[in-house]
Amino acid sequence: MYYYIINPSAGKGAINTIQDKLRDRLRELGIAGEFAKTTGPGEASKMATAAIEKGYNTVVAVGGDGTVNEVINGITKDNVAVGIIPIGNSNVLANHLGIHNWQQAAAVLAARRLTSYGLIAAGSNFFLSTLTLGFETDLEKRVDTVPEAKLSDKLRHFGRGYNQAQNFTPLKCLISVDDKYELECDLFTLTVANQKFLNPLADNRLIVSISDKPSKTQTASYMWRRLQGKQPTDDGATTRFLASRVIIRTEPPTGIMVDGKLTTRTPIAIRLTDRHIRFITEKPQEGLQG
Amino acid sequence: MPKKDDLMRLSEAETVIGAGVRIRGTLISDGDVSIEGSLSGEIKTSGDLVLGVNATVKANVAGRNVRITGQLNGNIKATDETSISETGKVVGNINTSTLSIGTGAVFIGSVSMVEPVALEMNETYEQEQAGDTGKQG
Repeated sequence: MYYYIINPSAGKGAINTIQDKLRDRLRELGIAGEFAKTTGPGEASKMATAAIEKGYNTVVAVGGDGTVNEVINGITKDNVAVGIIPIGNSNVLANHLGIHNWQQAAAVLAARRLTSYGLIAAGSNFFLSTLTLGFETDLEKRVDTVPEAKLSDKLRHFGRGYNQAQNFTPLKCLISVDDKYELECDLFTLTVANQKFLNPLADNRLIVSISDKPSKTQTASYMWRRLQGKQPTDDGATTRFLASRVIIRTEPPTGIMVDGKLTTRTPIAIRLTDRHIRFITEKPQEGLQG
Repeated sequence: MPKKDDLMRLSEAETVIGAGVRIRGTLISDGDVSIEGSLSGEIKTSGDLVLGVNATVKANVAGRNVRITGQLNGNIKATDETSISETGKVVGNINTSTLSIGTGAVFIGSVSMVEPVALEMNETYEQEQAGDTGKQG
């Protein structure tokens, strides 16, 4: 039984143009179910919980990263499968799972290949993919979101972001790792992700990547990826380690983005939980299977 | 100066601690570890350990292959090879199977060598067996 939670604001109302075609396709594939639209932030979590209580065993987030994050925060049982139909501005989670558009997503849902991912707790929030802090959260506050249409607007955005990066003062950071050691550094950006999201065959572990002040080339590369709507890579990272639990303090305290959305501030404890989410995914890419 | 293959290894290691990062405590890993920053405490890994040219480490360290191109104040225990490059400085005792020390490296301490027994004995045994079989044929 499939329950589709649609965010009507995702992708600037993308659902309005594909709604009928999507429903027809899902019906053809034999996976039509109940459709429900959210009316505000945070509602997708409550709707997911309510759907599970009603007996649905598959909850599908129709939206972007924010919608998926809300849905997984509402999953209360381990045996529920979560699917994604990516129609948001940012679809990093879906891309990690090998899902790139709604047509492909429908086929993936019908094939129903399940991969289990450990949930990461950041304070009171749960997430699966990526937590970031540092320059990126600063950029989110000071520079508007990536413009879609004109090349001149995009270039202006690139220039402002680039200047912001060059003038960014690194944060003083202290990280306690698994209660075994403390790491002290100046940081430009820090990301925490589930290692399994980067490599489906790896264990569920936190992978923490830190970069100090990047070079001009790295800054330009970072801004270019951002303009393309892609997740920054950790290519510029100068420090990288695995952990099960970290406590991050910064001076001054700074905002934290979880799956592309500003949620809380440092200090924060981040840990891998015992809870798992079963995602409906495209099969692991060739070459990752060792 | 670090060689190109050192840098390649650095980027591929599971744990990479960059220059300017300071660590206090015990770093334990199942994979390769590469350190360019400073650390005081202890390092234990079942993989390879590389202390880069900028590394300043006050710790007992243990790994499979241990390569020192920076400064280490502490003991080394390597199940395979220990190497101290021309820029390396080690003050401490070394327990290893194989040791190489580059020209210009500084080493103050003692070494106890453990013979790399298992592999050689097995090879000898297999050669003897093969020879015996050959005679019988």
